[in-house]
Amino acid sequence: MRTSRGALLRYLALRLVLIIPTVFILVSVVFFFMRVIGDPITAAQGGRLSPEQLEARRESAGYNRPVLVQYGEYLSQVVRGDFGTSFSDHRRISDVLITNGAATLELVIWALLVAFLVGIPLGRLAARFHDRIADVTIRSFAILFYAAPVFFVGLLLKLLFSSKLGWLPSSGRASTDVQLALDRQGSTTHFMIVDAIRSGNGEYIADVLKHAVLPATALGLLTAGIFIRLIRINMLETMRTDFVTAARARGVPERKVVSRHAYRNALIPVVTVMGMEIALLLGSSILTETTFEWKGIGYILSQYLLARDFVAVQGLVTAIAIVVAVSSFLVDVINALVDPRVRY
Amino acid sequence: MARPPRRAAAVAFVAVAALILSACGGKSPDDSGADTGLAQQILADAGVSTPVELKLQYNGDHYGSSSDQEYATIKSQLEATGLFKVELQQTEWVTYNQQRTTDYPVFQLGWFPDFPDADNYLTPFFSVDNFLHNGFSDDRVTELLDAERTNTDPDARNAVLAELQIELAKHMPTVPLLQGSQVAVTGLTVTGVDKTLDASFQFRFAPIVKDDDGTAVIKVGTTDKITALDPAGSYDNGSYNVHYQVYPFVLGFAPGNPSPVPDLAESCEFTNDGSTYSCTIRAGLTWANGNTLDANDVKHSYDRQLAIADENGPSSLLENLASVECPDDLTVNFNLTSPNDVTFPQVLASPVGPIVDNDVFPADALVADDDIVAANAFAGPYTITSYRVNELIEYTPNPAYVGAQGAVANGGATMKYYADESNMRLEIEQGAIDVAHRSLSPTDIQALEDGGKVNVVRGPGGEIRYIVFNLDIQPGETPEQKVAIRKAVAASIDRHELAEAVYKNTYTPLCSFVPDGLPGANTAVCDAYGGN
Amino acid sequence: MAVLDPTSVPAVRTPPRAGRKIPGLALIRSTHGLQRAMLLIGIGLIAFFVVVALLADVIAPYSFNAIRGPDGLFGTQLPPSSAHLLGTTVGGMDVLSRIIFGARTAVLVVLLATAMSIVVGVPLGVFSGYVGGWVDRVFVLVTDALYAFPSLLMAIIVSVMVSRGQSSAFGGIFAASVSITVVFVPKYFRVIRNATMSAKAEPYVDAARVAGARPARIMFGHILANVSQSLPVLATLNASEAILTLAGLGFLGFGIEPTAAAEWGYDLNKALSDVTNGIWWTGVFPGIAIVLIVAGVALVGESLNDVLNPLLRTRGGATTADEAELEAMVRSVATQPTMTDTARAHAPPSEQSPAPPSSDKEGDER
Repeated sequence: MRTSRGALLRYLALRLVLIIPTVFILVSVVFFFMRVIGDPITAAQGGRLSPEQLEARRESAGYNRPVLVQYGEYLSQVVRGDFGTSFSDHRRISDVLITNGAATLELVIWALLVAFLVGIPLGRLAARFHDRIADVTIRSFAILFYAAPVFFVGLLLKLLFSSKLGWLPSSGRASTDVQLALDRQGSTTHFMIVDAIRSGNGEYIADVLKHAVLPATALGLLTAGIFIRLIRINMLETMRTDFVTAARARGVPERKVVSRHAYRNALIPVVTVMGMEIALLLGSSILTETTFEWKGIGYILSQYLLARDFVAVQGLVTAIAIVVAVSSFLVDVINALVDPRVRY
Repeated sequence: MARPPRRAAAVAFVAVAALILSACGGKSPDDSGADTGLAQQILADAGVSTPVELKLQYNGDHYGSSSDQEYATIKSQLEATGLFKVELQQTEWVTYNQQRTTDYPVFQLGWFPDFPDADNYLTPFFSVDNFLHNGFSDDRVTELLDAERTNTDPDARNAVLAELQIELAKHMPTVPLLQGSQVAVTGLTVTGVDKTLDASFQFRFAPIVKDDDGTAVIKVGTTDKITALDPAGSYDNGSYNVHYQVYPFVLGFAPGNPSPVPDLAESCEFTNDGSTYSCTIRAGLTWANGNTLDANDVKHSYDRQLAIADENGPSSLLENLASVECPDDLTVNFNLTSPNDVTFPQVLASPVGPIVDNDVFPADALVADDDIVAANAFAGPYTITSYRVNELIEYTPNPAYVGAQGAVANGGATMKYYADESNMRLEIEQGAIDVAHRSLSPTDIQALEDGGKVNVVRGPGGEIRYIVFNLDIQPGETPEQKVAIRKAVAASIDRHELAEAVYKNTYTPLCSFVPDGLPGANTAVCDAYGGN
Repeated sequence: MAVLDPTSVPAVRTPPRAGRKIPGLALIRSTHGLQRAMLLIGIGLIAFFVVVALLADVIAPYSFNAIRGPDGLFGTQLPPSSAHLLGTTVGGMDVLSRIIFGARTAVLVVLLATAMSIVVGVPLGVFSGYVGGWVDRVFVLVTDALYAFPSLLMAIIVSVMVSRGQSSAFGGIFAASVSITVVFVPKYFRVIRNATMSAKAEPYVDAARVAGARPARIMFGHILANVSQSLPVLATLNASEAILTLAGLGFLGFGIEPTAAAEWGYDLNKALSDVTNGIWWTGVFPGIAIVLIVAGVALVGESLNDVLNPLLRTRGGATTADEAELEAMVRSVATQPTMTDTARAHAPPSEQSPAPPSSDKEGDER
């Protein structure tokens, strides 16, 4: 490590402080984007109310004040943790964030699991058979995973495994009965699988798992493409380092070289990349959620956008911005601690 | 993308097509629904120069996902006559709903009736201050509307309705297109759905039975959405369907009967020379939470609708209601602005009619969904025992219910909300739900019907699709030219082709303003402009 | 490809190249074996779609919104036949014609989005890098924040703003392009800014300044040389994400209305209910079109990344190629995508790395 411990701490402190302007910028950008279209009341109700009624409503909600005043007020609300109440269906945004956020998080975790299960072995295989047919095939698959839109992959998966074979459910997070039974348990964690495990009922767990397979696969294959590349390249690197060469010279069998030395080192960057992927997948599983009726943050956000419910949209986007900024900070921390190559 | 430049080939193709069409003299009214010759004649007589440019507005999903195809087909039909040049514009619903009354010269609308009566297809559209805000008013039409609303003799009233529609066909402020039937897809062991797909157009869970087992829970699916559980805060199918299962009404619909019958009421009658509609409420009723249910709740519910008058609410239906009084705990008097309104009993059984608990619902503010569920403020055939908005609702039978819908024949129901119809289609076929109600695509319905793994049950439908003209800004230089253009559009549209090609006959041609199946319906529009 | 990282190409090490020959040919020559096969397949796919887009009017059997021929309506959901090689859609339009015209929409969005991103991102980067100081820090902070935000969500918000709910051909294409631009400007900005920073530090720029020459001119040459390797790769990423975003917007219903233009994502959405009913041709073909064009662009991008990297010049040496790729990877992982640059902007100039951090965002927005 080039720098002292003090420098590391200073760097991390700076990164922590930078979360605030990042969130601030995103919230501001979205706020002013939305106001280009109009205030929330005009956007949702304009034309359906008489101009006088509209003006009265705007006045009572404070939307006739200067935009900058409203902006300041919104910021102070956000600082207090108050995201407001949705305009179109009168729900507390914080409730929406908890229920739908949990759904999205659960989906992202499943997807990462698939990405690991598919990406790591394939990446390893590609490195092992470097520049041979297996390598090229796997790399081509990685490109296809990237090029195929998730809704197309989802459609094909549903068609095959749900419609034709009937093995897996096509949509939702659980069967009706299971969902009701889990809701009836009392305090829900909003994580289906956690609730299912708490119930201790094997059938419920199986049902929840079955529902997760197709969405997790569709979203996970995307990330798998990234993991394949990472593992492959990192393994190739470590396999050419001195200590691997030395191990080879000592007569250690190639398979052991791969598994013991190269593979282990190749996993470090994957862990870091995974951290960044979580932040991204969190806000971006919208297409998967829509395809599989997985009612998460992305899905509800697109519904609120269609309803021009800008109070809700602002609240959700603010929350996503916070999640993104915090996770990118956490990744930096892990990175700085784990990887000696980071320069600060 | 910009419209691609027309290459020679394309121009030639269009020219040849036009030649062939004109050689055939357009389409004859015998084998299709359009009458090009008539349209041509109408325009020529009024001195309208062709092609008439129409900017036709529509929304792609509010009236079902087939709207794109419907309007592409209408465009092609209008242009095939050579009389029109149509520019289509799709706009998202929220914006569309805001702009339609002011900015759109010609636009798509659909109507799902508030109550099953011919008047609900006429007064809201063609009265002087109609909800279309399209600038239409006609003295004779207004006169007939008043006559129809207050005529207590059914036969005489039907005669007025027929005359009214013939009169309207001379103006064509709206062009009727299609009429939907009610369709539900059910599992093979599910029965009783036919008892709810009746001419009252209400989807009730109470009569549905699965496996001949009165204790089985019926799983229903829909693509509709809930706006609010509070009846004062919503005026849409998705919300009203929930209200209908859990709230009582003064008058309601019994299965198979399109006329309102007592629900909370014991009896109702016009008194005071017809200017008061007076109802006696049953004694000894309670809400599911134990609160007393009496005439005070009824007065509270209607006063509340008028006081809140939410823009998303149905309070506009109470136009003829001047005030509500309750002389005692079991009597409620509705004082009407114009007396002997034969549609008023229907209004009591419409989306503005659900009665709410006056101990739970404040007089001047909406109540959040979760608070209503927590307060168990229900007194319909069911109570809601688990509620995830637009995801899943669990309905449990309410043993205290004795109203119009009759006894609950099942052990409860669940309603699952789908974002995409194709997911609902897969689940009904796989048996994950027992009934799929609104709305599967025409492709789904046809394929499911052919597949034989499920039953497709149909009932008369009150849903209609039509085109509206804004008389102030539509094309045409004089009022006469404007009427001619509207009539020519009516004559150029082939309703049979729309029903068949776009909707696979899940919709049928709508030949007048009042849909077929209701008392007072006729075929005035098709009689005048072809398409019978 | 997502991990493939153009911005991490160690650009500074390349001397400005003079007297280029035909660039495409040189590119292909510098590859070998399987690498060359991948590049050629990619180029072939792109060329195919570009030709289809250009000649759409000539090769498409019908217009993209035609539902009626001389004999009346085509008919809906017809299986592939001689009259309709790929069948007809649920709306009764010819699938093949819509795919052909869809290529035009896609290519237009790519061109518009790339052009706008460059037009906005490049001057911004030069300005920020040249001016430095707090202006630079603010720019870096803002672009970092935008860059961190999930791009499809940003695209939806922007498209709502741009189109105001009215779908039109130009509106749809413009909305998709603007949304891509918002997401990609930070990436171009980053590359250009860093190149400018490093150019500013070059001794001969100082020397030129002392000698009275216009430093801007010298810097311009230097910057161009620096970014000439990373810009093409960035552009391919830009292109593939543009297509995927357009399709995503179309699929979610924020896209283009069918009589105004053909768009694959919209067609796929409309085909959902067909496919579950055994009518596969209306959904599968648009889907394949998306996969092929994006894969084509990604293949070229991947090859470009390898080839334009100077460390890969030694031909036939798979080892060096991989080492270079690896170096890129390591940087992409080791340096941070979102915030590190901001952090660096606050650090003394001597500690600033010439290699910008990675962009691991692409392709996740589904």
